[in-house]
Amino acid sequence: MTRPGNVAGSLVLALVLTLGAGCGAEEPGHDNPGTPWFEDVADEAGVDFLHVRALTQRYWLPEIMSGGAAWLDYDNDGDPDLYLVQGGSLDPDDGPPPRNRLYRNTDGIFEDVTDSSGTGHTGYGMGVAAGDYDRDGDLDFYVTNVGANVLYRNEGDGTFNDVSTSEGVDHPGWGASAAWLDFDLDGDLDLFVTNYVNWSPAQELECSDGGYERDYCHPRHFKAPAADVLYRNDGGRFTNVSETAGIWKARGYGLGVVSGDFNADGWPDLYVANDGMPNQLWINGGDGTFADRALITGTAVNLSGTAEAGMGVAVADLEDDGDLDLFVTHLRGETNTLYLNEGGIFEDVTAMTGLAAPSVALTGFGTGFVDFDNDGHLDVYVGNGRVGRGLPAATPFSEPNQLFRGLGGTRFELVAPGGGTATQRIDNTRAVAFADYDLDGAIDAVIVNNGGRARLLHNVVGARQGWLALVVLGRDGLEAIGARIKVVAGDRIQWRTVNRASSYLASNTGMVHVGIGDETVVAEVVVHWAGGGETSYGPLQGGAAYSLRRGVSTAVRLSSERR
Amino acid sequence: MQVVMVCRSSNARRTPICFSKPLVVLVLTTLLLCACGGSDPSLTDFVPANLSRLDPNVVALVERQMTRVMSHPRDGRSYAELGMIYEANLLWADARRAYAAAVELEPASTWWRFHLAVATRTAGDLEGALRLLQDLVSEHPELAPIQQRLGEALTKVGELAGAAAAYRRVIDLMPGSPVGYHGLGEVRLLERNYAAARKLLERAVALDPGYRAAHYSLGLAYRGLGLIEEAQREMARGLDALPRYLADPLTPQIQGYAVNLPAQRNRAAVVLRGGRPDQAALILEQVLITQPGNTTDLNNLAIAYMRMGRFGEAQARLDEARHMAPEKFSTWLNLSSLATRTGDPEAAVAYAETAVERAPNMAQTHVALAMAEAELGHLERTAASLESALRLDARDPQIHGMLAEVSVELGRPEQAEEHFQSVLLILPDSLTAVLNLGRLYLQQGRLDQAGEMLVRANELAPGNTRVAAFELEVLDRTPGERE
Repeated sequence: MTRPGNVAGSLVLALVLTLGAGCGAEEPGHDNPGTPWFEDVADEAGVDFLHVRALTQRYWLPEIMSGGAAWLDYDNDGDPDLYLVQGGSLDPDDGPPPRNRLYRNTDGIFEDVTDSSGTGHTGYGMGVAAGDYDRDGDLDFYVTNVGANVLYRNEGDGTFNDVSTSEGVDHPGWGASAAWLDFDLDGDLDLFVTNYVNWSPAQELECSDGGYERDYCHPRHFKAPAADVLYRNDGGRFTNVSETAGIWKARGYGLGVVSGDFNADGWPDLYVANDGMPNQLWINGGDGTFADRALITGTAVNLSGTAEAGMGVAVADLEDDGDLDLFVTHLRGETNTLYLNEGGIFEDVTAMTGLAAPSVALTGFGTGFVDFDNDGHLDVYVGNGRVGRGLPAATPFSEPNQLFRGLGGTRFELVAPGGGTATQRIDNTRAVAFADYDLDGAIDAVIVNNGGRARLLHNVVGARQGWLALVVLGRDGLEAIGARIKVVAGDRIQWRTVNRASSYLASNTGMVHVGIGDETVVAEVVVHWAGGGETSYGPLQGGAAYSLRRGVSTAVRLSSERR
Repeated sequence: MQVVMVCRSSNARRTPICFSKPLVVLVLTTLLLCACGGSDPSLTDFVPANLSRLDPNVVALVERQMTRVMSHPRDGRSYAELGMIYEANLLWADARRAYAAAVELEPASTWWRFHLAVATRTAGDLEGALRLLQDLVSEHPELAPIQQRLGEALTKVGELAGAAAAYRRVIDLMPGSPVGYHGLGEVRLLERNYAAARKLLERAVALDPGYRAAHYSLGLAYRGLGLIEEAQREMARGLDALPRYLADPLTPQIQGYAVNLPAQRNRAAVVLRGGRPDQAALILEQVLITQPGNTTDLNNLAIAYMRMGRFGEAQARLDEARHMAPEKFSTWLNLSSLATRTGDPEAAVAYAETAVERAPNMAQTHVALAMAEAELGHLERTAASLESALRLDARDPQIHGMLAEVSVELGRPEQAEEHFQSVLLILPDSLTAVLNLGRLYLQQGRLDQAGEMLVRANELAPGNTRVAAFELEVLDRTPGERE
């Protein structure tokens, strides 16, 4: 802290430097005490993605919100490939915009195959959701934009076709996070898309940063919350059922979405995080309709009734009691919020978790519950970055990311080194997506930074302890989205769900991963299939990946080359 | 050594200003004079790093106060007032540094230390704030604002026993304030002691029925006790609450220092809502001198002028905004409103149509068109525009209410009823909607239902003259009276 009463001639120099601050190269970060959990290998691995916030920065709100990521094994060779979503330009007069990028993963090295795959969309991109909507055995993906969204259908030969218009899913609003789910349990994937603001350049406002300079507006200034969209998939054909489902009447600044059976009635529900407005918990009625139960379940606002920012969402069973808990990231000045599910009713227990205090100074976006160190307790990663100017720095919107070690249940502690890397990076993070890209049993992460370089965080601690990876397939041999998995190892029971959508603008691996600590054998795995029925497998050897297929009573061990 | 002077380059809209020039000169002069030795302050640490980007009103205050600091470098008050200026204008890191300097010079000042804690907390250092508050409370357990902040901080870090003790002190010190009861109620909620939470929170809302955060927390308590209907009601009442803090002796002075542009705009909005367009106009006229190109400010000033009846000036501002940014729908909305007020309904419709073209996905543009059409008596078009607005925002009670009234005019009682009911679903405490629906029932001869609405109205607003008038209408239609 500054001490009054000290003078030095160098203060003049300090004054000069202070007054001249604001220009300069990217801050490289600083050395971090502690054992790293990750190393950033983006350069070595070939992930050379640079997100462009805007070709011409106008302080239009979309500029500061963009940047999505998806892990998807599009070529079915066993390892997850990567799709990264670009921002670019909202004004056609700015010139040719940059493209989204698809990287094919071959043994941990990523090759840009955007051109050959036909997936280099140039819309002002936001998020991406991967799912095999046409059930032909290869992953398709849906890109949300400020403007018409895009559905890329995987043709199975390394190429994709834009079928947005023919499928009727080219919603023209400001799409944010999207989720594939089988809400009607008919065996194919339906699609839920959050929309953020009813926005156009004509509606843009002029906000300042508390001083003289232009800054990004809060969405509330626009007074134009958007409606989200639900598409029902009937054998590869989509119908917008927002009205009949009952969601069309609701408005919100939707940014994050997760699906899960929050009331354990067998039907998948949806939770939407709204920015600065009450969140929504859409409970599936089982008859094609949804009802918003966020208020009475306690998930609309925080403990004090305050609607918080609501950007990223993570979902997991933290207490291993069979129900899904929620974690939502928020704005600087607020704390991120953990809602503990107690049989369909949620309690805001943030104050008791160790997650509150460290989050106050930062603005959280992408997030996820992952057992990075494989000790059997879920950890939390939070990607941070501002939405308004901070003090002048080389990168005025940048903040450090955070890694919290799970201590069991809902208790966490902040990990040093900060963000889990040897050198703490100061970035403006948006999407964070998780997958074991190098198939070593430890979950890695890709980070998209708004207006900056993507980072690929290779996990360097997880391989030290036991783990189990599961590819869970339905009778048709396709990913069983919505299946709930109980894993018994030693005296621990852990629950997981087959689900790709969470975080912010992101799509994770569909593979289920469980850390088992010192255990070497998993005594039993029970899959509770979406729509009913369960199958028991095991015992299974730890340190390996298995395929579990409905209708097949034994687990098939996967080689390290293919899962 | 060359000193970098921060000067803003001129453009068509702004006067060239070197904000920091006087400040730099003063600081450098003082530094040079003091370079011979002694213990004068490191003044550069108290000048915001982004000074050149700050609002000129803030810069002026900072410069004035820095002059005092330099004149009295050992006077804690100078630094404290600098801290207050920063705090008022949301420059929390700078506020923290200034308050810290004040406290170092005069450690006995309780309230400077308190605001150091507030700035520390708001700057994101919750644990640092906690330490400061704990020290303060140990010395001054009789000060309720400090106890409240301590309680909040301890709650945030899960130290519930300490938080409970702090809130109990607030209750002891200020038994007539709901704040202590609410805080302790939240602690009990976290302890899952719903019965105790209920008692406390019922007391809080009894003391202040408008305390929304307490209503929400009470709803959680009811929910924990299985009282779901009561929970739903209270949680709805408290939805989207804001935190409430006890004032302290420095609060009025700090509020007076809030001069940055957002603060001024907020103040203009508050006084405008409060029925003082004249004050709003004064504020916004000053804001526009500082930032002449802001079309939002031009629109808001025009609104203030309209409410004062200064239509010519309103027109001038809107014309300016339209010239600067013809794509902005809000300008066309206000032009429509102005045309209505000046008795040119055709122009009002034309302007509103332009607003719709600019922003077809905004419910308010369709509402504006509806209102303009209504002025011309085009009820079918009014209804159509309101239907369009409703498709964009089905949860807006104003739209439902307007559509209900138009439906009545158009002789569509079923639709009217549906929309009045929608208003009540969204705003269950809306007396206007209750009375409107009641009158609709009366018109239809549905006396029982009219009577139900009368009962509901009396529950909402006993003794209200509008309710009394409606009661007379109901009695007039009650069987037994002459036809």
